[in-house]
Amino acid sequence: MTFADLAPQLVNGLANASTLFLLASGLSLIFGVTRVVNFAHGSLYMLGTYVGISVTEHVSGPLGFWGGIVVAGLAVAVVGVLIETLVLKRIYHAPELFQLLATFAVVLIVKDLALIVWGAEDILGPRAPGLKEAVEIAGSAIPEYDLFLIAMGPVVLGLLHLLLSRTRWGVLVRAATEDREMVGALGVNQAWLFTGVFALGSLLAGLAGALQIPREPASLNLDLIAITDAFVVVVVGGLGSLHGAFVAALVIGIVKALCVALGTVEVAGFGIDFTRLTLVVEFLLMAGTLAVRPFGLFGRPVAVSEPSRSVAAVVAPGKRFHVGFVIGVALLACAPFVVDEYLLVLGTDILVFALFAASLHFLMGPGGMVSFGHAAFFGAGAYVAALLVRQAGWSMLGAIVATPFAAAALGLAVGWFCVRLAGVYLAMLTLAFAQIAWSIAFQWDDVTGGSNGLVGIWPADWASAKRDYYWLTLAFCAPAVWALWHVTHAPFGHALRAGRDAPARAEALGIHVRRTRWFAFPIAAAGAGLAGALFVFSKGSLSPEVMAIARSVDGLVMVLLGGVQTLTGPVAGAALFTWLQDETLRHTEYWRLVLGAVILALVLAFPRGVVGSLSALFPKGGAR
Amino acid sequence: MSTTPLIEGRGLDSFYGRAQILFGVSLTVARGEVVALLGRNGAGKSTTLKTLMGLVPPKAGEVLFDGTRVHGRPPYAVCRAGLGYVPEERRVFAELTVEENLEVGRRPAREGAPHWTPPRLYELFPNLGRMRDRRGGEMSGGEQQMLTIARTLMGNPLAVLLDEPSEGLAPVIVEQMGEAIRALKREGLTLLISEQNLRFAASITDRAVILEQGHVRYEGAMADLMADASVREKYLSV
Ligand SMILES: Nc1ncnc2c1ncn2[C@@H]1O[C@H](COP(=O)(O)OP(=O)(O)OP(=O)(O)O)[C@@H](O)[C@H]1O
Ligand SMILES: [Mg+2]
Repeated sequence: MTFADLAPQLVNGLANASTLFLLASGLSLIFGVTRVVNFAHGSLYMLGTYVGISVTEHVSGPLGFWGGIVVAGLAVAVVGVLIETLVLKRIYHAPELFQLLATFAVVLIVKDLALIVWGAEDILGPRAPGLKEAVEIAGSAIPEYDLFLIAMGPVVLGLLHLLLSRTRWGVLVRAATEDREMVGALGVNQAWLFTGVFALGSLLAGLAGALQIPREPASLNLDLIAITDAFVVVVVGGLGSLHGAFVAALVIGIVKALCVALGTVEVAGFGIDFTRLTLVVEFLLMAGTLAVRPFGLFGRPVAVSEPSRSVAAVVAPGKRFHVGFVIGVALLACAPFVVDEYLLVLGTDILVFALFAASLHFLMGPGGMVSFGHAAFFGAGAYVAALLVRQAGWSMLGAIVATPFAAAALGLAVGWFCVRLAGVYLAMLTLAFAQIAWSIAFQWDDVTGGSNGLVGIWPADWASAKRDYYWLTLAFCAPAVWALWHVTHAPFGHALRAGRDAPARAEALGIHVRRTRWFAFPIAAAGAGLAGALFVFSKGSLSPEVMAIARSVDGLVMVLLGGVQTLTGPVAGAALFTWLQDETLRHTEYWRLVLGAVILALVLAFPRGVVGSLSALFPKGGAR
Repeated sequence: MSTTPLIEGRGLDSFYGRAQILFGVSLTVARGEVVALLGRNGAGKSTTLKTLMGLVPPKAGEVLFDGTRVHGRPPYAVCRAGLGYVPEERRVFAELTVEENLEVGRRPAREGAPHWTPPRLYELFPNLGRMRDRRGGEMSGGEQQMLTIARTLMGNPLAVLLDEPSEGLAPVIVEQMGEAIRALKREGLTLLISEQNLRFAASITDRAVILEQGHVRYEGAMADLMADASVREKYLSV
């Protein structure tokens, strides 16, 4: 390969690195000061792209383009400030998981608002006036706009550096990143600092989105793509480190470019297609980095607040609980005699997602480990079950029974890496594994059917009636959920919670904390895998979407909606979520908007109530 | 000069979660006075200072600063009213330089309070003047302690709550610290100092308040306390 082959890809990769850095630096700043993991940061990026394109559609020429970028940045900054002041400001003292839930709600709302304003079709933006040409460098044609973007990265890094080191505001921001309470005790009103940081972070996200206009169309998928990319960069670079984010963005940009440039390479007789790696290479990089440096390249092992800290103790179920459970299952078993087929299908979905949510809750509640990638186990279960039936000729029942074991094996492997980390880093590593799993399903055409997926995976004849499949699902889900609850209060569950609440004390009592946390993974994975297997036969087909980020997020919302502190919470959350989604989908295309608004209303209506009851159960150091 | 105390706590009850730490703590510090808050480990000294500062809002009782109620206000507002706070764990900003640490504490000049600038603080703590560009995380414990005090003084406070300034410091440094605190007293600063080191406390304060398990057990002139071995035996010896 010659330089001329490589150069265009390299330039492209470096140009991407610049916008990636802008995006990630905003996220990093916001997290550093407010400690909010802002899932809506990708939505801000997406808005930047849409607003920028809209401006260029109304105002032509250089003014429209460059003005559009500025307008997009400012407009998104305003949106960011609105999100901060209307939503987050009210819940800074709530447990981190509630903040996460609130930002999920914002993601849902922004997506549907964008759908209403700009429609579902991708919108192509114009090319940059004055920078439409390509220049010839060392025999390759390099787009001028790419060169401009490449310069933007270091320029923005330099400006941010000056802002943070040379201005009083910047000094206060850095101080607050270390110790907010102390900054407050020194007379600084943090409210303004937080709002300011949110404005700056959002501005950067908006600019990043708008700067991509000539390079990629505006689309409604940009929000989750952008947020995952940004998370990866921030985590690889080290939370809160601007320089780390810059280096990580460069590394990821370059490695992706190399994968494209390499194409298919013969290694030891095998043809390896590197272009396919572009979808996962950043996640492979992240997993590798975290395995070696648990706090990223430039991160320091400080101030990562453990999300689990805010999780209340699970109340042990008494006899009445068990009686209630049996009665509840009996009632559910009678449902087919009274409700119609439509509701039975919905009921099957609810049962499947109740198990999915309960298994995620097992990790999050007793385990204190928040997973952003739980759909990996759900999806793996779905694929394993489908393939056992299709390729290996197994019976449906055999496949359903075998699937949890396969998922548990996957959980054992993934968990081994994850439990080496904590807090947000752990969550990001689960996300990385989920993305890797997703891209395998997406690209392994021969086995998984690639993006088309697999079709015609229907239940065995004896279970093909909706009613029978509902019963089958109940017969698997109810005992599985019960088993998860049982383990939560078995010695294993006690050890898990002891390790979550006071790791040092648990170790002193002879509990191997890391191993306990590790074994929680196969248990949770088995539950999610079983749910996935039941899901695939109820739908008759599957595609990589079953393990997309969106499903992991759905699971988180279900758990948080119901409440992490109770056993029944996730089940109720799953039922509410699935029903609400179905109900709103029947009446409006904009179910996300409705769901997001409901979640926000719940979070905002009970900030004191929910928090109060949580903190009463779980006294926490008031001062720090 | 008015007779209202500058700092006053009335019947303060404070909690961490459900654990009650302070039980009706009342104390006053007059303008220009230097008071020692004494007590064994875990007696509630730090909690009292945090309660006065608004870092741990009391469930019952009142905090008055210069006659104005300040309980329920956020710490930044209490600070702006003129009350400074120096925490016990020396929470310097490790990534910030000495100058930047001081910048975080800077507030406008205040009538009736000494006006502090970095050069004046470098006079008070000559060590700091020699390491303006050093990062907080790279300083010795004694230097960090001086920096936290200097940082709080940058807010030009009328009064300062000082939590265990001698903790973990070498005797020479404790001596320097005592010098600096006496200098602050001469400037007219009001101080409430939590201490475990009785001899050190006696060398810098006029009056003592003793806490035991969250209750005020003794209040009196420092000289009286030093003369009364039985009180010391009862509440302070370990
Ligand atoms: N953040 C916290 N959460 C829960 N309990 C706390 C917290 N901080 C202190 N305590 C408890 O409150 C009690 C009083 O603590 P405090 O720090 O006020 O004591 P102190 O007199 O300052 O002790 P020391 O001399 O050791 O500094 C102690 O029993 C301590 O264990
Ligand atoms: Mg103390």
